[in-house]
Amino acid sequence: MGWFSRSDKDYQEELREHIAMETQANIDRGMSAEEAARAACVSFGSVAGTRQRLQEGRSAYWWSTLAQDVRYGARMIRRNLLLSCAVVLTLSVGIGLTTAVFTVVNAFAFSPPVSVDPDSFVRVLNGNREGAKRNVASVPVYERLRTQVRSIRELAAWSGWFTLSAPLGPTDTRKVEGLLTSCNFFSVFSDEKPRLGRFLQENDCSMAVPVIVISERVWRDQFASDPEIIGKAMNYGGHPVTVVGVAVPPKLAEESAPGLWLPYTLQPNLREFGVLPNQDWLGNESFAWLQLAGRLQPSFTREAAAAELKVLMRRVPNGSKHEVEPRLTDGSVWKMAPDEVMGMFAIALAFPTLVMWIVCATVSTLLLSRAVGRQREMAVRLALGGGRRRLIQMLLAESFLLSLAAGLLSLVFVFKVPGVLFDFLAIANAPPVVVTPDWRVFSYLAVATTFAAVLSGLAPALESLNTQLGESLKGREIFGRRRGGSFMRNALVGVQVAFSMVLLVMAGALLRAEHRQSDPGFETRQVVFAELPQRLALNSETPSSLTTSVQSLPGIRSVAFSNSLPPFEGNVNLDIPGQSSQTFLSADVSSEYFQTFNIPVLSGRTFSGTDTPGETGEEPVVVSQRLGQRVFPQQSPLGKILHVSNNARRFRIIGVVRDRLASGTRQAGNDGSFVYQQMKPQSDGYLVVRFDGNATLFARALQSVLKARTGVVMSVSTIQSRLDARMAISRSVEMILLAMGLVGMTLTLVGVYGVVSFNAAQRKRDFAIRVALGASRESIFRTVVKAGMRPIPVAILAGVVLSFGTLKIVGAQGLWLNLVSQDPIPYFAAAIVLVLAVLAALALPAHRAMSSDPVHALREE
Amino acid sequence: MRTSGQTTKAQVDCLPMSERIQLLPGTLEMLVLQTLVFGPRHGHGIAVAIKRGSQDSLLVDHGSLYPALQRLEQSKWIASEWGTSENNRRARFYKLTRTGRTKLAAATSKWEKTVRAVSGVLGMPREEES
Repeated sequence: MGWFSRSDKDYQEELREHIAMETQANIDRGMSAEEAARAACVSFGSVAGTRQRLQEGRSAYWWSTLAQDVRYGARMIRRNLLLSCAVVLTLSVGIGLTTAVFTVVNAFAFSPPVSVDPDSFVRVLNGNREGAKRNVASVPVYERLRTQVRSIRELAAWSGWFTLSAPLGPTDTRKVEGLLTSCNFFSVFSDEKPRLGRFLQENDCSMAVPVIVISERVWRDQFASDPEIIGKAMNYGGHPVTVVGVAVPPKLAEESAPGLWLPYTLQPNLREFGVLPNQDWLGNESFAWLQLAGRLQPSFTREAAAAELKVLMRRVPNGSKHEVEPRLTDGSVWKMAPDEVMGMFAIALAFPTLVMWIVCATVSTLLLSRAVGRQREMAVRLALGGGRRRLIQMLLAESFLLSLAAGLLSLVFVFKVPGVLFDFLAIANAPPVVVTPDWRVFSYLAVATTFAAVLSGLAPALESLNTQLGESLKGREIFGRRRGGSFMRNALVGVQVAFSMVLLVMAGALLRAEHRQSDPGFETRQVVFAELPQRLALNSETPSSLTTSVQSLPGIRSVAFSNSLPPFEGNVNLDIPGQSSQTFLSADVSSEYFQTFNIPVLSGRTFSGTDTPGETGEEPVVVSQRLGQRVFPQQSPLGKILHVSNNARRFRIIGVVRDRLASGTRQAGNDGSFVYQQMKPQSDGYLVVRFDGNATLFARALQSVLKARTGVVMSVSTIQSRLDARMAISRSVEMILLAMGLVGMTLTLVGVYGVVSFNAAQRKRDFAIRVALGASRESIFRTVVKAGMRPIPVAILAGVVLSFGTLKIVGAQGLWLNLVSQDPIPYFAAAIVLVLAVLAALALPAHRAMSSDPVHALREE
Repeated sequence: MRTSGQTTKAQVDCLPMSERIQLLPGTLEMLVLQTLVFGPRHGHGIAVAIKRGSQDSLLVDHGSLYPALQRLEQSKWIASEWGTSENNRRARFYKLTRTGRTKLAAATSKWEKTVRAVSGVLGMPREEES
């Protein structure tokens, strides 16, 4: 191997020969032997230094020194066992938290949807950028593919997001999501036996037998885990069906788990419950609504199967606009929607990562105090010729060992936390994700551990080497007043405070958002809603005739229709004069809507039955107060015209109502701006009823009236229950964030306490002299507190900026209602809490510094 | 820690010289390569050649020669083997590899360009300065 294996000894001999030659040359020039040797040495420079540099240049050097450094690190850890344990525990919280969250997201994003023989599983996606990505086949196309394909032994199809939603049961009226599937669906997806009964079978599809398999959740919640359920006849959307099985939902990662499965051949019977109602999807050649997945024949690869599918799909007549380019994947969400997965990772990991930064900063401050104690040792090492890089490596080895221990410990988190997290979030419709750490989790853990080691160890290592040789060698510690050291400590405290602030502000803003929801600006408890089935049109029932019959109910206040319900509504793009096109939240509502929701009209009027687009073609709209202020500042918006973007439609503002809660979407902000358009009488949507009295009784009465009029059992519930259901998850997230914020703050306080008491201890003699010279003890107290508070203002400012940005980003996701970044209260609250907490943490070391005996301190030399 | 064990007699004797000409980074490697153009040399020979070639004005610390040789060898610009010196001593001989020759040619022409450019600026008439 030549140069690769040149040993230290080899080089040593070469250097010795070099000096011998030079000595000889000097003797030849006429020097005395002693003088010649001296001159040779002088011209050579430091032999030891050269040897060190040669050694460091060797490729094997790193490994040989690593072993030494690890031994050294282990010795250091043993010497400070208590501190080391504290450091390991703290680090494991930071590393464990982020890795646990990563594990959850990872399981969701990367795992294939089946656990038995995942290698043979294929999901068919459309690789063509034009056209839908997942809905790849119409029924005729699917059926031909299934009989012709050779490389795939089972090809299953299901309705994806074209699910049905209809009431299920003999009496129960809750709507259940139904997934239309091919009858081999379970043999492709399910790894287990059905909980009860059987799965769908081939002849269920071919003969269009009205059978269903219900999910375990529906069985438990709606039928009280009735063991006799198999063979029971019941209604789905008014059609008789028989339950043949109870199953655990297979994991179709991207969809929420459906409540029941039924043969896709039943679609024509249930056509009014689909997303596109009243259409027969079975015979439609060009309507690709089926998603496909299958199992490969042994000895076929995904690429080969994709090639075969491509040929087959070309061969079948395809009326659709865009040609499907089959792409076969392992079925993970990552392959389906990489952008969304990246976004999800970013959002989910952002806050645990902040906690990890805080943890690392805390550990850094803990280790910093020890680092200064080591300055003397390091000074000796430097004086003896140790290179700084080599010493940093040596010191970092110790923090790597600590991090490694913490990383191992955090495996407990990785295995335990995801389960706890799921239980806590209690996401009812979440697909059951099997959380098993895989190589990605372990790589992430490794990266996080390394990161933690460097983050927590680098500052102390640099501080250890930040010595003034002369002072340190004489045994004097460098006072913590030098700019370098105290700057580093202040920066660490600053980072902790700023990041804790972000967590606290986030939690605060979410709490505020929830608080704001307690007064959403409209009636929620005395209003019920029912989603009108499209069948309404079939029974020649009109909204107005329905209204008449509903109004006969006792306790009725008013009846209205709308195409969407708060807080989740639609968008409209408007051209604002002098500005670019803007997106506003919008809903189509009937004239009684405002009365029903008790939204006060501030000026103008609401819709009346006679409102028609005038000769000018302007449609009447009602806007919220905020929108008026935003678009027509300091003017009355009444009578003003709004232009719809990219559209000839124009709106005339006829009334202004009070702002109310609404959930912002990705496009439209949630500042309260809102456009109410007039509901066209024919549209389907929601029936909204305001009443007096008991909600349960009224809901039951309304339900029976609706059933009598339309023949359909509809679920009726209050708007409040709708809001509550939507808020349950975000409330859990708030709690998690608040917990993280508090953990972060506690760690920050530990850090602050550590830094300040260390500084105070270092300046003990300094203080003692001051007291001896007549300084008051209060002034010592003030000095300590002032020094400790120095990084806080900048940190708070940075925290405000960071949290503002974070809130903007999170708010833009539209995941939370009413999350506004401009609300000053969370910022003030977090800042005040942090400052008070820091002051409290400062008080103890400051008091200690104040009350220590100066005589003692001065004698201690 | 290794350094403490390495405190040899030589180190105690060899005090660092107070004044030394600082070479520009990368220049030493070029000089070393140049000395090897006309055949293999050992480390001492290279040091002497540089000293002579520069008419004693470039004082290269012999010790710093070896890390440079190591770097060149690791990037395969030179190769080395043990041999016997002119005084019958054991010595490690270095020779240029094919890559080394190409790199030297490139480095030399780049250096010459730099020198021309710099001296062109330095040689400008004084009036133009202000």
